[in-house]
Amino acid sequence: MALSSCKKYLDVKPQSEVDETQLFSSAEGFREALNGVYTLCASTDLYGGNLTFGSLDVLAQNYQFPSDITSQAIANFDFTQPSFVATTTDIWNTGYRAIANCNYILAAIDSKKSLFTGNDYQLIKGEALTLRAYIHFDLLRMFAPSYKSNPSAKAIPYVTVVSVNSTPFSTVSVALDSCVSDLKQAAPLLHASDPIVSSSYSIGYPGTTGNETSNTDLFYQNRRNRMNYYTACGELARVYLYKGDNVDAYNSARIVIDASKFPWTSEDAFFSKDITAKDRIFYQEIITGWYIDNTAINAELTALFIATPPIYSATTDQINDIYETAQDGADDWRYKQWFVATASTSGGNSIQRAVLQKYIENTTPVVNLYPLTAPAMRYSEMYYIAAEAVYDTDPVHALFYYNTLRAKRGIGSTVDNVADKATFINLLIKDARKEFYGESQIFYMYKRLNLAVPVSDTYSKPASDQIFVFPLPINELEYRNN
Amino acid sequence: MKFKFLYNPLCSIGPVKYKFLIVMKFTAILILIGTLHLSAASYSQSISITRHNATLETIFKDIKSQTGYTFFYTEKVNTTKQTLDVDLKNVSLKDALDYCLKGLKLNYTIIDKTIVIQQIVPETKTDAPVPDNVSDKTIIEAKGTVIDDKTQAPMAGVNIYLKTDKTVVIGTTNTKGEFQVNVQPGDVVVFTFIGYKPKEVKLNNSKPITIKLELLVNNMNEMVVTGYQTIKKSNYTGSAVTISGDDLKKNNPVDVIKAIASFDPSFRIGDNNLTGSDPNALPKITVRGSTSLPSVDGSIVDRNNLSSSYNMPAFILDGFPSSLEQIVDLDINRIASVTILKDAAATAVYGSRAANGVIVVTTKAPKPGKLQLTYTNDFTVSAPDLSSYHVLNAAQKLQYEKLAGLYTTGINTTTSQDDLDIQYNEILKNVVSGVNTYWLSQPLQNAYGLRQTLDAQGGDSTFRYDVYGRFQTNPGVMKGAARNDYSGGMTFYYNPTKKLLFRNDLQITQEQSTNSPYGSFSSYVAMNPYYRLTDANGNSLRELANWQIDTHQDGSAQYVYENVLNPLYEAQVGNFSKSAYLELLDNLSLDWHITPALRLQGQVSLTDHKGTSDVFISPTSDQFYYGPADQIQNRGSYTYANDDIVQYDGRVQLNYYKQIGDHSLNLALASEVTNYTEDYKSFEAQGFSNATFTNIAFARTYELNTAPTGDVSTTRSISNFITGNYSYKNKYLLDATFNLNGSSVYGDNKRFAPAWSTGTGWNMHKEDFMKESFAAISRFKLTATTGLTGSVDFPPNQAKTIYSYQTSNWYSTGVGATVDGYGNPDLQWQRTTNYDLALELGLFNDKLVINPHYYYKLTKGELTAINTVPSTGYNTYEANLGDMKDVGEEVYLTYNAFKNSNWNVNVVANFAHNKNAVTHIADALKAYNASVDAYQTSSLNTTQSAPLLHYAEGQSIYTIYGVKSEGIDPETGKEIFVKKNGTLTFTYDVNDQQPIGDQEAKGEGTFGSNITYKRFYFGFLFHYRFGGDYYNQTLVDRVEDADPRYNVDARALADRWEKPGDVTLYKNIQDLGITYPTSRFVQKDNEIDLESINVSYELAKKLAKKLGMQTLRFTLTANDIFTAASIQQERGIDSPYARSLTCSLLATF
Repeated sequence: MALSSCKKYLDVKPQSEVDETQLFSSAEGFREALNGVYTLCASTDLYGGNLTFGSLDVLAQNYQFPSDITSQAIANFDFTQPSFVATTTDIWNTGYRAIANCNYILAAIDSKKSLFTGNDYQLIKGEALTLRAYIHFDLLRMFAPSYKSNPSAKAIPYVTVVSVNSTPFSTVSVALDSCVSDLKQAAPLLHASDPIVSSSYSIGYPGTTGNETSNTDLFYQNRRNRMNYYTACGELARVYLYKGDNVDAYNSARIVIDASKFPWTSEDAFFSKDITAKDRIFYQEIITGWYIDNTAINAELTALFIATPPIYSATTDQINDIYETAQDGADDWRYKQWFVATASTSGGNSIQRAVLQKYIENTTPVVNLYPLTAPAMRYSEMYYIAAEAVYDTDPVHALFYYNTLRAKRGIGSTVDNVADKATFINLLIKDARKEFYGESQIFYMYKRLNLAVPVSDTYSKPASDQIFVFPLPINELEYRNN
Repeated sequence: MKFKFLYNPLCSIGPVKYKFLIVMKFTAILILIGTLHLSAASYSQSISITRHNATLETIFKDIKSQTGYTFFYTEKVNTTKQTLDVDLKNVSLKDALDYCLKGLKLNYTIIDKTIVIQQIVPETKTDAPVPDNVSDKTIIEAKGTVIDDKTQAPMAGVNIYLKTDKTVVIGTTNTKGEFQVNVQPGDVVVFTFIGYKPKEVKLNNSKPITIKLELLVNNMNEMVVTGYQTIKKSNYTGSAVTISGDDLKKNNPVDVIKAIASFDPSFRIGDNNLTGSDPNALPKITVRGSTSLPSVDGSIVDRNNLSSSYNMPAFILDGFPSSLEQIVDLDINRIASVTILKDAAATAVYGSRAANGVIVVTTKAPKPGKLQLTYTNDFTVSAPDLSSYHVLNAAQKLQYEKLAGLYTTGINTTTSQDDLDIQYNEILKNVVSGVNTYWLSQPLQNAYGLRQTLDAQGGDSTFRYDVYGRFQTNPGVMKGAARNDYSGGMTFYYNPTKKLLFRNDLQITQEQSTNSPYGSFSSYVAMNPYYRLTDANGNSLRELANWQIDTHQDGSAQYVYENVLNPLYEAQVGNFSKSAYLELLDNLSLDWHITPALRLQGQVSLTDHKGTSDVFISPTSDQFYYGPADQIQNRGSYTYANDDIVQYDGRVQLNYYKQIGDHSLNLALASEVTNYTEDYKSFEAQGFSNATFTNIAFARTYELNTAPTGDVSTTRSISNFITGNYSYKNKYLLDATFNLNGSSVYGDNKRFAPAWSTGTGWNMHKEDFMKESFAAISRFKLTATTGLTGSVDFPPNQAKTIYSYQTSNWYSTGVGATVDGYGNPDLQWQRTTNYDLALELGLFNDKLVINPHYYYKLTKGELTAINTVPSTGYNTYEANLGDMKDVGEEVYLTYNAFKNSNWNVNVVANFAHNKNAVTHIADALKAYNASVDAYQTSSLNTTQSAPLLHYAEGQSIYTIYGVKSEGIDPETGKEIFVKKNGTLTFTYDVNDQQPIGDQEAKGEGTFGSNITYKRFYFGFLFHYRFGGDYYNQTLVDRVEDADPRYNVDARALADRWEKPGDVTLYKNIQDLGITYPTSRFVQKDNEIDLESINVSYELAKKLAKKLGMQTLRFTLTANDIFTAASIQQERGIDSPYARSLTCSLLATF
């Protein structure tokens, strides 16, 4: 008796911080823990920086560095560059930190089911599972060989428990199966609970169209800043496609496409002269985007893409090549709106450069049409997946997806038949590179298909694990206890 | 009075020489009373004993058990030597005693229920012929006053005996301390009072005399204050050093911590060469080596994180845990005693706080008597000690610059030879025109500190009080640095009955500390002597020079201009940094003597500490000198912080103290609860227009893009313990303690931690054979103790999985909470196993006392940061891995060299040696060493030239790591390194780093003497240290790696390699590269310094009376007078060291 009351007295709850048991003693705590995972994901270490605007696009040869020797070395796939090692270590560490945060939620939530009202339990659990799969899948895509290259290669640890003991490495296919399993568990939970599924949830620009920010509970607003039901489906499509399961990939992508939830961007919004009404990023088509509207990341984006000279920029000629302006790309909305040609921006080099406009935030107090967002998954990606996945069984349908998407981007000409799948894939890749410029998705596509990375008109870096697999952080190998 | 109660019945014994076996101490007497009481039970009066060859002792025991009568007898009555055969059946007590004592020259008297056995005094003595003086036998009426030696307070109830017959009280003092006795001229009478030393006085006439009694407890060698008990040192097995407050003040009246260190060499103050004599810097202290691994990230201990600092002993002030700052700010005049508890037997009652030792400080208690005022004035003069600084003068400096190649193209690639010549001549013009500024003295001052204490005390036996106040200024030798204290308090003792005592202490302290606006002293040391202080108009210059620097970067970034800004200018722009606290402390205690043997104490303590800190950086400060133009409106900053600490403690304690025959038992059972809450808040404001309006209200805005910070931490602990001290015949001693300690900082799975200790001792000098065979040995006490204690050196929430809110970075769907780190639920205290062996050897009536100690401390479960695979979500977590041991010896020596009525000469010396070794480290920590090596040469490391901490099994944590060096090659001026495989090279490779020295001294201690002549006192104390290694960073930073654009140590010019054939310690004068840690700069660390000299004089009583006071004493103390060291280094980098002289005056009215 005395001892137990002593124990009680000694169990001091911190006041300026929250201890785990205290946090998970209310549904509110679970909500905050989940928001915490998003905060981590939106940090510059992960999707608010490295994984959206960083080296992945450098490796995809989207930029050129006349004077920045380090970045040029990274572009040449020199993975020993200290700054690259530092960046990948940050990605790995913070990625797993976010996963650990998911695991804390998942470890506690089932025993605390009675705390929740409404659909909170399903929603939080569904999102936590989706996040866990989403982050693991991206780490797998960086730090392990592709499924196509070597499905039984040592991949990454798929961590599902909270512990200081290391989780053994899974093979690529096992890790992918784990992603699928988490996502398959998440999808029904989200389908039952996610407001975005409801027909009354309409997507649009904040404050002008749609009702994404009208819920009186902040936690239920902005479903597209979180892992929603469609993201889980889209992520499943990504994972299936990665492991060559075209049927399941197609079915999953179709769920998103058929929902018709995400409206295509209008020409008026995209070309708006009024910068407060200008859509620079196809905002409504983003299935999930990380909310990064804060001063620090805005400053970083300014340094990366907007400052004179910007850290990342391509030459105008390079952009013309990527957007195939010599062929049918001159009308491409993306080409027309996403780049501004600037003369002489770097170290005495007078080559004209094209500066990316996607992430410009209007100088205060003039506001943007939407908050600064880092795209995690786009509606258009579902079209690429569907097109690729269905080509083997229904090439006509595949071309339909391809042509539809291009039409939405202002390219009038259509492709009505292709010689073979390789040609079709080549078309898809070329368009995806345009679509995902500055969003770090195209590198994964080269890797998934195990295709050479085009460096210039005349030279491509041949596909190999050397250029596609990032070295694991030293600590991950050194401190293993199993 | 209890004293009387004891003696009155004994009075009837008659004129028989009588002496107690036990020492007449207050406590001992209490036991006697207890015995008397208990023996009052009813027993049969008839006795039956049948024994053969039984000692008298055995028979006495039989009689005691059958009758309940107790025996008193003196040492002279040897009850064990003779044996006898007894066969008694149902005889009376009287008959039994008659039978047994017959033929043994023993006599007996029965008083109440006590049988007093005496030797039959030879008839010749008592019946000797009456001497002549009987005829002129006159009775004189001697009278006078008895007062306390220290406080001069009159003492009531003092008993007076004739020396020849201590059984008869011939008089007692009244409430005014006055007495009147009838004696014969020449009679020697003895004055005794509980807790005081008896005093013998020869009375010749009836002139009134004043008798001064000296407090026994004042003689700290006799008692050990553990904070829970006060135990006779002779019966105690633990290792403890007790120092009286007066002795402390004699050694260092300004710095309590330094004063303590001079009494015990195992109490070490970490050498902080950075802070020097800065009054606002708190010291780092270790007792008997280290038990904790230093933090892996190398973060240093500063004022703000002291509570979690490493290896710090626990401080206990009047029974309650207190902070180092409280002890530092304590008025040294109020300290009654300081006890350093070192081994497990001494510290185990403190359980998990004990591993690093415990410092128990008690403050003085008021004494009864009429109102007595004490005034103390301490005036301290401190002068900066620049003897360790040897910088170049203007001409030398320019010569050095030229030699270093600053004016030679090819070495200095910045500009053309013509331009360099112009630069050189410009400076030469200054030098020739006589500019030779001594920058070192610019920020310094002689500091005058003052402390005034006024104390009033008095009262009667039921109510005593003490009211005191203090005002103290303690300026630093850096201009503007100061630490001022104002404190006041009130203590009262209330005894409603003899058995009950209430005590309340209330203390208020206001402390204000100001840091010097002059910044770091090192920036003045670096200034070139050929710079002028002021321009032609006498105004301070801001920019002194403008050097062009090659940054070795591409393009336009290659050459940059670096301004040399005048640090004196910065000192005048209006910056300030100050802090203050107000502390309220109240202790309330109840002390109930339920029976003479049983005592219950209850104590409650409350401390409220409110601290504030204000740091203002002027908009015209150098910090904003290079700031962007669009941020001009945000120049100037003000940081405000507020720290509120509330601590409460409660304690209940039961003491049992009993002596039955030869067995004496001292037991304590206690339960203690502590709660400590710290609430910290801070924010920063920006944008000041000028330095005149410095109030935070003038700020333009909060610091951009930041939020206020706050931190609340609560620590609770519960401690339950039982401790016992048993002794048999005062010869065989046994101590044992068990403590169950719970703390909120431990992991959920390890809430409670047990600590224990046991100790045995043998007072061999009390054995007969020793007395007979080794008469010269007056004391020979052997003790051995062992135990398990702990330490908790981690922050409150380390064992918890903590979420922090991302309040300044909301996600679009609400605020997020993320996990900070892995909370290890198995986290627990570090467990230190102690062994201690000690001998106390006293020779020639304790004229010479030598006290050697040997100890062995093994700490298991060192708290270390364990690296984990990042895929767990964490890079590190805290766990109890790693073991460390400390082995050491200590020797204390005191020698009373000479003593007569006028002279008393004492010599004291002590020595300590500690050897630390890491015995086990986790694998993860081994990997850390590799990362340290990498960091050594990394550009992220701003102090690449300093040796870094490594962990290796078998090595000490004080081991210095670097590459072995063969010195400078006379041919090339380059350093020759020894690779691990033994080959020589010019190239430095961090992988060749190995242990190149151990900073721990082979021996350290103090020696000195104090001499009393009549009313004069003279004392001095030297401190010495030898045998350690030291990495002389001065030689690296100020000689080898010195930037020739700034002033350097004189050796940079005199002793560096210049041309082939030069045999030097230092590399090529033109080599401006970094010198990485090498054995070349490891030097033997031998040092001796004169720590203190103390002279005092007490005015003769009569003279003092004429001036209207009871006592008047002058004291002069000089501290840190000189240092002789084998290492020449710049001492006091940010603030120089100082020598100080204190004049004290103590007057009582």
